[in-house]
Amino acid sequence: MADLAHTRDGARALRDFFASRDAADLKRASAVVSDHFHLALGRDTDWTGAEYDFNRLFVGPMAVPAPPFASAYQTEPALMGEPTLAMRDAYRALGLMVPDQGQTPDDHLAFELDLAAALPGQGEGQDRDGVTGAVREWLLGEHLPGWVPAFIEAVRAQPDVSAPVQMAVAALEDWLETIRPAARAGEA
Amino acid sequence: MTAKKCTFSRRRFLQGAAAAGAAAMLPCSLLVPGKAEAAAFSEGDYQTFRNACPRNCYDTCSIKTYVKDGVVKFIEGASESTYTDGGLCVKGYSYTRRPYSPDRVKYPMVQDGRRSGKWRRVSWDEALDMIAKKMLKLKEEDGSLLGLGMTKYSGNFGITNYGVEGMMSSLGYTTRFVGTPCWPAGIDAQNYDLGNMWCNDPEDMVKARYVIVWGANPAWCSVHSMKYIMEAKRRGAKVVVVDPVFTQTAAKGDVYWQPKTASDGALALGMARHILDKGLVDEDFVHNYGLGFDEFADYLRDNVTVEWAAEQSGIPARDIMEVAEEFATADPATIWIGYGMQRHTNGGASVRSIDALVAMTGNVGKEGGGARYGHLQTWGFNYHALIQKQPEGSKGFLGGAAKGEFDFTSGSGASYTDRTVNINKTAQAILDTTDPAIRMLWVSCKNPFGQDFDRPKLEKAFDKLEMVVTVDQFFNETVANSDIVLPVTTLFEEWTVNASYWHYWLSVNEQAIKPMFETKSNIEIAAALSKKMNELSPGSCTFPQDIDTREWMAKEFNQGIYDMFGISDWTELRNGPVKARLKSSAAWSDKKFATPSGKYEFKSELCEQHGHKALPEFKVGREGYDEFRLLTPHTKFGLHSQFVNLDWMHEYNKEPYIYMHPKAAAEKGIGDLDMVRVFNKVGEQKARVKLTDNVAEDCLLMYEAWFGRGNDYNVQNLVDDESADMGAFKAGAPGVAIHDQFASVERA
Amino acid sequence: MKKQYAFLVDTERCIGCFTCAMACRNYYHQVEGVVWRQVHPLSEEIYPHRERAFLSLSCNHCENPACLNVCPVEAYTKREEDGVVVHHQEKCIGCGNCIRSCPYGAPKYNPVEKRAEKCSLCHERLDAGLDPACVQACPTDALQLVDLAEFERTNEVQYPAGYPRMEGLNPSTRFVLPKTPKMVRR
Repeated sequence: MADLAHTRDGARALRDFFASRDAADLKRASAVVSDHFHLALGRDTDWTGAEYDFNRLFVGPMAVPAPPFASAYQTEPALMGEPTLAMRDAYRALGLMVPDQGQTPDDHLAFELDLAAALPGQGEGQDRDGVTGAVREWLLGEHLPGWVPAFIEAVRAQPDVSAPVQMAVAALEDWLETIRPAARAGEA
Repeated sequence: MTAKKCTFSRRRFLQGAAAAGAAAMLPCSLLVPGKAEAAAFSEGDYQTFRNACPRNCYDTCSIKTYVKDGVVKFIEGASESTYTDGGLCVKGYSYTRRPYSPDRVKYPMVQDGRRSGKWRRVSWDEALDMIAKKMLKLKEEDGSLLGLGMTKYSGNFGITNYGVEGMMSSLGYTTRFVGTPCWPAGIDAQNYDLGNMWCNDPEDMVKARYVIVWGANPAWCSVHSMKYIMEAKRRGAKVVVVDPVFTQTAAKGDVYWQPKTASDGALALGMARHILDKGLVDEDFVHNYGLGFDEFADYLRDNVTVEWAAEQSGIPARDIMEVAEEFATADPATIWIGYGMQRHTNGGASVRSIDALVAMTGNVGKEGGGARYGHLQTWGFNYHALIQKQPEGSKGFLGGAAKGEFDFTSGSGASYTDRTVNINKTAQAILDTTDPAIRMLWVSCKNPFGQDFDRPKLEKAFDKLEMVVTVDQFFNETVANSDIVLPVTTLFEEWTVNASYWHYWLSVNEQAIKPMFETKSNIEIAAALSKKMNELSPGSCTFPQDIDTREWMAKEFNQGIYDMFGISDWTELRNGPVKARLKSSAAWSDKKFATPSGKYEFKSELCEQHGHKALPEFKVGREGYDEFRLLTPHTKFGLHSQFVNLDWMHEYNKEPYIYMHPKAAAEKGIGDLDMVRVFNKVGEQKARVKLTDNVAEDCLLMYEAWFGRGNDYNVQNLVDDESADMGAFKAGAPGVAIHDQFASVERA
Repeated sequence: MKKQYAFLVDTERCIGCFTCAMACRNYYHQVEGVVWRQVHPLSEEIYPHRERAFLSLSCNHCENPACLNVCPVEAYTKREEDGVVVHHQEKCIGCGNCIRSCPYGAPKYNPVEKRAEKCSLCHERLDAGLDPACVQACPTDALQLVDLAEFERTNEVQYPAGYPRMEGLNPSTRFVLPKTPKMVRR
């Protein structure tokens, strides 16, 4: 089982990457991801090009081939579906919510990673009613592994993916590996 | 809704966990057994809202929206409306895919190079800053804002969306694309004949003893009207459908006529001549309520025979005589004049001929009768969002502006006006207009690349523009040819009010969910732009900067609307749509017409003054310029370029086709489902072909517009911008001869 | 006869508009590729004009449902009170027996749930006194809900041309056949 703090830091780095709005955000977040996951990033990265690519894949305005929302990969390729509301319930159970609920779907990858980074680990802190554990088990053991691989696959199916996005996706895959044992341990 | 979602949902488990504590925390699968039946549907589980379909459609359906946890779950037709009767259409039922499509335009974005696909996300503030600075620069360099063009039409007919025009006025005098590709030739024709375009309540078609559906396909374009035609038929009426295509509506008639395209005027006049010869004219109507009938009769005797009409149209003389006699003797008898049949270089003249046929048989002003085309009787809103004042000292165009058919404002009396150019020649207008040239374009409620004509020329025209701003929900070819795209709300995310140009119901459109991502409604965009303009240059925009959209919707109402609909306040519409209280279901029931003479004008001097014939004489159609006639009517799976791109629609409409007669295909060596290339002087388009005798041998049929989903199909690659004969009088610019197009075809 | 709800498909009134199919999707949000109600154009041998007459089809709610008979886990029940054949997806093991056995292709495989599903005649709406979503949506009343026990027979048929004749199953759907107008062509 990977070091808990390390897993959380990875989640934060990836969260910031997928929450990027522009080239500057991408550059900053990529550096952290590169450092944390020991993935090399070329020095001559075209960050504006990476921004175009990030938008092409995840943001728009063109139809996006890899929407960063759980709901786009599950029962139907639409936002605000059951996975979104499942996430909303998970936040609710912990007394959390996404900012301006209803505006950005609750299952945006960045929000989910934010929660993953914030959740106490097994045996950590108080969990009298078991809710935290239940959410952790579900989020890390079921929900994220349920859709993130499809998301990664959707990115990789695209031609000419920019280096920072390729790196972030590789990092995401690594990170997903590290949370699986944690979730299994939680189940035991 | 479904059983599986209730029982297998992990979030139910989580809810249980949160409520009941650790003891209830069990793996989800254990909760399932024993609960075999889904619980009965309960409306109490949902919040319900009233919405209305704002698309350019006869039916303008009233919608009831079911929302749970801030998410639209499903919608249905409002049961309160006898017209909608609880149902929507295939397009309406796909609506939830619009707010929740992953493909939606979510944020303001800037493209570094048109068609480059290099998009950057910007904040509203940054986007508006770029836009406002460009506008101020135009004003400074040109001395006016006439270099700013605005093209908007029917993408959203919600009344508050006239705030787009209002926003333009609030900036100054600008260049407006006026007119309509839709229905203007017929509007003018009806104005010359009757003094206005005003149709009977479609619900009274059940009373008709004879129904001719002429160049309209309600089975696809007005599905809720079909039940009235069917009921008339059940009560004994004969239904005749006249169309160059064997449409779905034609398949539901008693008689189908397939005349030569654009020969409608000859056909109507041939029927009129026969009615005259048989002494079946309604003498009371034509002499007491009509003007110039004797001259019309003389024209018919001197110039028209049934045999001539048969030759022109291809419909045998005996059929013309039979239907003419039946039509003239049935009481009441009605003709539904479709918008398709007036999209010709002789379209206005043809509509006048058909109007005359209805009038001479005494069927105008009669319940169950009428020359039905459309109406704007229920559109008497305040146009609060539309009417905005230009900033002090604005310079504009000298020479007067044309007005569109939905412009209900009276002139301001100012010496300057907006500059108007023809919406049906968008490309040419951008290329030709000078002093100042159109340098910047604002596009809203419209997809010019899907709807405007001569797409190859449009691309050239757009390339001449210095800045293009498009407000849209989805990425389409117009967005691809823009510099900035601004994300706009769907009907579920905004407040507005909707009326129909066909039926007489009124619906409020409530905001049912929070606007997703960073979308704004058109009036919110106007307010935000105003704020930015005034920040950069105080006094440069008069549009209010802080608006409450619900309040703005309420401001569209007035006592006239309340009286017409028998309500005391708009909030009553939250209980469901209401219908106008009509003194008769018939238009013109008092037989007082709005023409200069107050009579039905078989002979219209006004029409003559406008450069046409005074009488509804025959006008020859456009000369063919290629091997086949090309028709590009509406598909049932979309409305212009809307809906076809949605995933649910894709389930039932996988790809676009070209439809062709088997004999014509055989001559070209084309087999069913072959890939073919259709080409003409405008451009070309490839698609697979379906062979069918629903189309005539000399005809190619392609359903209109844009397909989306990575398919480049777009019929505007083949349609030129030739004008129809009429439309300038009431719509500001002539219509367009969409169905007077010609092309060749070969195997691709 | 016991109460038996059935779809009456009046193809003389049907305009092939797909509203019924989309209304079903609007209400149940089926997974992409899973269609409970489909609108099928009749072949030109049956109706002489391409894509101008249609059969709107979903589950027939048979008297002796093949799906129910072959299901190993009792995921299907036929309701006593109205004859509606309900599929209980939570019991389904996804074996595919029903999909292979139904000659009308009503049960579909849901690749996400990895189980079967089909039209259960909006029984939860029927229980609330509402019409099925498709019937409510039909703009021409071409699709109606009838009770075969009380239904007065006129001109409808059980097996229109091109429709599998399965007397042992006794499908409940009834059809009115389409007509053609008098054609006057140039």
